[in-house]
Amino acid sequence: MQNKIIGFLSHPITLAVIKIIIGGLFIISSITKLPNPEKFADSIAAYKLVPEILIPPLSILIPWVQVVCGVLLVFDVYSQSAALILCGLLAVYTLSITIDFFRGMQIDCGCFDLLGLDDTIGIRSILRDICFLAMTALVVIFDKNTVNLYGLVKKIFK
Amino acid sequence: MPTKKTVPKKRTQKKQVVKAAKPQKADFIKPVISAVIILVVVAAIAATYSVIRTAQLKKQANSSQFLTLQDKEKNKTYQIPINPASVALSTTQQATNISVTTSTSPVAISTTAKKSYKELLKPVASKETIPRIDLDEAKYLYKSGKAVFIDARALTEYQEAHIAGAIPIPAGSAATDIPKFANVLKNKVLVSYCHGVGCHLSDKTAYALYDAGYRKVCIFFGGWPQWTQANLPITKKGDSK
Repeated sequence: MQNKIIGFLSHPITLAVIKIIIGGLFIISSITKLPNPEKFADSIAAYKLVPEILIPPLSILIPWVQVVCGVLLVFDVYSQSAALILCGLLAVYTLSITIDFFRGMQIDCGCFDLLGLDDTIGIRSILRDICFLAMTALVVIFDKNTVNLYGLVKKIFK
Repeated sequence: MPTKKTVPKKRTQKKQVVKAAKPQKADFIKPVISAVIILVVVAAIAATYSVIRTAQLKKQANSSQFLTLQDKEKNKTYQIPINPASVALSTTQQATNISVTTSTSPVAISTTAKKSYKELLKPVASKETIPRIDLDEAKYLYKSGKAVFIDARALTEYQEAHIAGAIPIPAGSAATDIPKFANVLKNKVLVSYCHGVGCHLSDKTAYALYDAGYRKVCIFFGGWPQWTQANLPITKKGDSK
């Protein structure tokens, strides 16, 4: 039974679906943040967890990290490394949201709100981030770290 | 004879274990190294982008801006010079869903409020974007049951009369009073009001609420005078007795 579950989770099709979903989500969420670093800086500042000096560079850097890693995941290029970076980001997001939620703060998550979605921090956003974190961790554990393009590279060079 | 058979088996087992351990180490290090390289490249891209963006913003600030109005009847266009500060104002207006539109007559610039009341239920990103709501919006929030009205006037004025259901958080003692009402304020849209247009007590209370971590905050700029003129529910001294 255990082998079957591991077999399913490490199956190339499962991993491909995860990579497209997670990569796509990060591209969508960051594409609106790239031209609006000022708004994203407000979202970061609202958490009251990051020193003020670090807010401007982070508000520019994070969307770029998300979009680049998202693209790498979707196209299956160094997907293990990209997933590792996104895992780190997701862990930080989950921790920040959890801390502020238990502080009783009522703030925007800053995740998908720029798309016009109501995204106040809460149990829902914590569970969602944990879910994404688990999915990304699967790619880190089971995927390969090459320019793979879902096996297209092998086919071309054969 | 049996001793000769057992020896080679042990050797092969040892070899297999050593072979399996080596690639695991390499698999773990390689992704970390390439992740660091990716991060360095992305940081370089972001730094370049920020330099380009700063230069663009400087250019925009230096060049004069114009608001273009079109008169469809006379087929003429008018350009009114505006300063960058007012451009920033227009972006905040967009955030609160108020759009400035030009009418057929170039003289009359009508500000039509496309009221999407659901916007009022969303958290604000900064103090500057706290929405200033009118009577209709205040009425909507009052009826929705999702809002708590906050009287920012003096406590004596609140005791005389206030909006029905409102709670007193005078601007002067807002920082100390807010924690007392934490249970009432949680997960609600907080609408502060005072003596109407020209009164800034509601602003101060709204800002204090924002500083305390509340993000669904509104300022009812018409305040107490507009509410009473519209004959909306109020509680007078002695009503509760």
